[in-house]
Amino acid sequence: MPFNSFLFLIFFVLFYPIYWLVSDRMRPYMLWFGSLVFYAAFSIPFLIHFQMIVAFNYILNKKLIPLNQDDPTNSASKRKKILRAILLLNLTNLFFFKYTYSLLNALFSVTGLPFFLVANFDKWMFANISVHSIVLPIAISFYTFQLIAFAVDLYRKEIQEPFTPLEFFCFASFFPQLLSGPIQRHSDFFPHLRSLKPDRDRMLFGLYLIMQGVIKKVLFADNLAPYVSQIFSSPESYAWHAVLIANITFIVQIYFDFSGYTDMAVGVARLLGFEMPENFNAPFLSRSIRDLFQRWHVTLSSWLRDYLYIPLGGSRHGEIRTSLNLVLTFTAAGVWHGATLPFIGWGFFLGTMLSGERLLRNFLKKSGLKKESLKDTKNPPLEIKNIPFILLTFFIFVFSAFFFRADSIGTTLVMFQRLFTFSAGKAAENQSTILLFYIVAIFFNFLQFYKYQWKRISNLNVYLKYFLLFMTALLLIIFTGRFAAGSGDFIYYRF
Amino acid sequence: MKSKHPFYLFVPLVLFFAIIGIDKILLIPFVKSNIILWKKVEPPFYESRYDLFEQLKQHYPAIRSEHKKLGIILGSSRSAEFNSDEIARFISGSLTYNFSAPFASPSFYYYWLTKILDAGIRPDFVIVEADAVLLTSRAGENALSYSYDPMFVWEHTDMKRKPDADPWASSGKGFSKEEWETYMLKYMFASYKYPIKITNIIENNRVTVTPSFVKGEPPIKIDIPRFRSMIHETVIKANRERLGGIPNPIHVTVPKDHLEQDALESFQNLGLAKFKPDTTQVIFFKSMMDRLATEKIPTIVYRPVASDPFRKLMREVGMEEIADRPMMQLIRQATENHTDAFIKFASVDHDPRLKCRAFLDSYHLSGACYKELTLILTEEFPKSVREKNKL
Repeated sequence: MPFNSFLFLIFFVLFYPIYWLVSDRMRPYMLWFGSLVFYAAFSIPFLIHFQMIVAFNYILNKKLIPLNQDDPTNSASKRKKILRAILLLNLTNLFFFKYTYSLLNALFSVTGLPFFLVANFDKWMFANISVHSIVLPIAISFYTFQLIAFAVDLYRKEIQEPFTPLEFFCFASFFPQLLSGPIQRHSDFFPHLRSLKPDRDRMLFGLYLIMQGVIKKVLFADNLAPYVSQIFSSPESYAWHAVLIANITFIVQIYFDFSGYTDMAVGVARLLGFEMPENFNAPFLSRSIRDLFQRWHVTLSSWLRDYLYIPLGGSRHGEIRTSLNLVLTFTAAGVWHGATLPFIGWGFFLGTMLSGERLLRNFLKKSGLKKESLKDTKNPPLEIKNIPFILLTFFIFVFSAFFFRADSIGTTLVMFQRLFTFSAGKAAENQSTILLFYIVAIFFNFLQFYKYQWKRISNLNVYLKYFLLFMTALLLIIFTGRFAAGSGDFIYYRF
Repeated sequence: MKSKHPFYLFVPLVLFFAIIGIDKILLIPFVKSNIILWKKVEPPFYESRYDLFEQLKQHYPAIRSEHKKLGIILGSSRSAEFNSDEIARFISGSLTYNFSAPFASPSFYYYWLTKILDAGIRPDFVIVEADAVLLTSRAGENALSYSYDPMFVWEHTDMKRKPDADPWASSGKGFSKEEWETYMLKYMFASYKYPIKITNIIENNRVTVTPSFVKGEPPIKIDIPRFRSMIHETVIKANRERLGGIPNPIHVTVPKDHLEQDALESFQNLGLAKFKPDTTQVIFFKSMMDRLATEKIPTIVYRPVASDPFRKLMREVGMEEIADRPMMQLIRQATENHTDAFIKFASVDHDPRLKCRAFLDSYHLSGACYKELTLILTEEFPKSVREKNKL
């Protein structure tokens, strides 16, 4: 039930009034029930599987709580064992559904044994357990991330207060963020769940975000998709500049797509009384790769930092080890997107760029050429002198698209070859339309950077706010009716 | 006392229903006719089929009491020019209701066939137009916008349908979840069905323009506001006087080089070079054949006549093999379990009796040639259909 579907519209129009009309005590039950219905629209068997995974997690997490309160010397090994069990459960679940076929392909290419052929494996599965093939359950990646984060936080004693089964099930199944995040931590969710009270400004801004998300997705992302697909499907016939435009356009498309999804998710959550963490904060205005990942898919970046990079050693063991940890973390992020060479290449490329940038920054600091660190000031104001760094960061990100969007590493190599040899060929179509979309993307980035939008609106008279919302909705329906290219799936659903 | 449920809590719902309400302004005839571009004939044609159905329901008792034969034509614009009077010359005492609509598809045919049969109306014969053009996904778009009713679409949707490697082997209820979504959005929001375009409104109110309908023909002057109302009147008049058909006796011949150019463009635009039938349309074609066979209604499925350049392109991609044969196979499968069923596939392209081969464009036969086509098709029916009903 994607947010941009008619089915979701009907679901939410029915669910929303009931959710607020039931008593405060019943509201969390209603939320869990709504989340079950939401997931059941995809698959009832996978809903059962999902809830069983949550139940096992709950049982194991509950075992951690008394041990946390015991004498640390007595319980340390037990706690570690339970955490390992939780990690094993969640990672096995994720790996089985996401990587079995990749593993089989790898085994087949190494051993040549016919059993490892995917078709033969599927036949074997059907003969033995009457299952045709392994289907990736929707949302598996994102709920796995949340369950792991919860368990690790509990293990690290960052969760002090007790939680009920209902609260835990609501946290893991919360439908606005289920499909593609933002990845929530317990501290983002539980305080809101425990005092589900309506708040006018939160709700009105939620509505505004939903509409902004629809605009980004339906009007911009879906209309850009054909231009990107056209060139990526046969890059060999396009000129170097068309190849470059395709990659820039893809970065703009995925920004509209994913930040549009996030706006809708955050907006829906706000209507239900929750506030979710930011996932995008003007990524196209990033001044370094490190800055980029504090602005792009922020909740995944921070998840990787807290639950992978830091456990690997983070920056605690010298420059070489830190660089290696960065490369490993980003390569793992690539594998998470898909166990294919282009995704691994994407992660490795960005990890290398990030560690290279870190080494350069440290060198400049040591040599006295650079004094100030971006880390020191959060969201520093934009200045003219930042433009070269913004452009450099953006184009490094664009180069990562050569890997990310390509179906195979062959496509990536063809594209690089055409770009770096300035090959002649077909030009990109409708360049003026594409340019207009770039300008709109920059506009949205500035809106996010200065956070003007709601600050200004929130100071207005309440009736003026209602009027503005109404006019936005009216224009939205007119423009989507006129320009919608047909609602495509969100890019991040497949991960 | 302060309410437990403040007003702002209901703002999302108020906004939703207010937008739905305001959006309905687009359905006011004056507004609608200003928004839809005057050249766009699909909405009035598709919507007029409901009026034709009402006519049929009204006349049916008289048709039966007068022992007349009832015929139904299900086709695209290429079947709109069949004339009920002309058909009556070969199938005596017949009245043929023409449910054709521009670029209509098997899903649209099936919709009207079931609606007619479910209303207790039993046709004595049916003529169905079918070829690769109508089995493309694009052919289903018009009906999703301007026809059907929500219950029909809901009952014929497979929410969990997966893409079939071989659409000819697919089975199910019909529509995909995406098609259901498209239909419902257009059903609920008029602005999705009739998108607002300022340029359309301006053009719709110009006094004269000089478009050329047929390539190679000199430009003609048209009073657009008058033309808009004329289209509506013509369609409604056709329902009353011609039972839905719009016969046009004018003999138009487009020069050969224009036909060649048009064939290339049309072939490209329709995506026929890489033809793959649309699963939805295949399922509905199957369902329609099954229903016609079960009801034992004599039926001719005919492949419409195309110009030589268009046929040449069809031959080059082996359309006979990849579209006609599987269709014939589906007809065979539908009839083999029903001994008295009569469904025949007719390809009239090579018939020597079709001497008139003038074309409006690469795949629209000129209206004047329909007399010969009518003769050929009606002769395909068994004698029992062609003979007059005994009083």
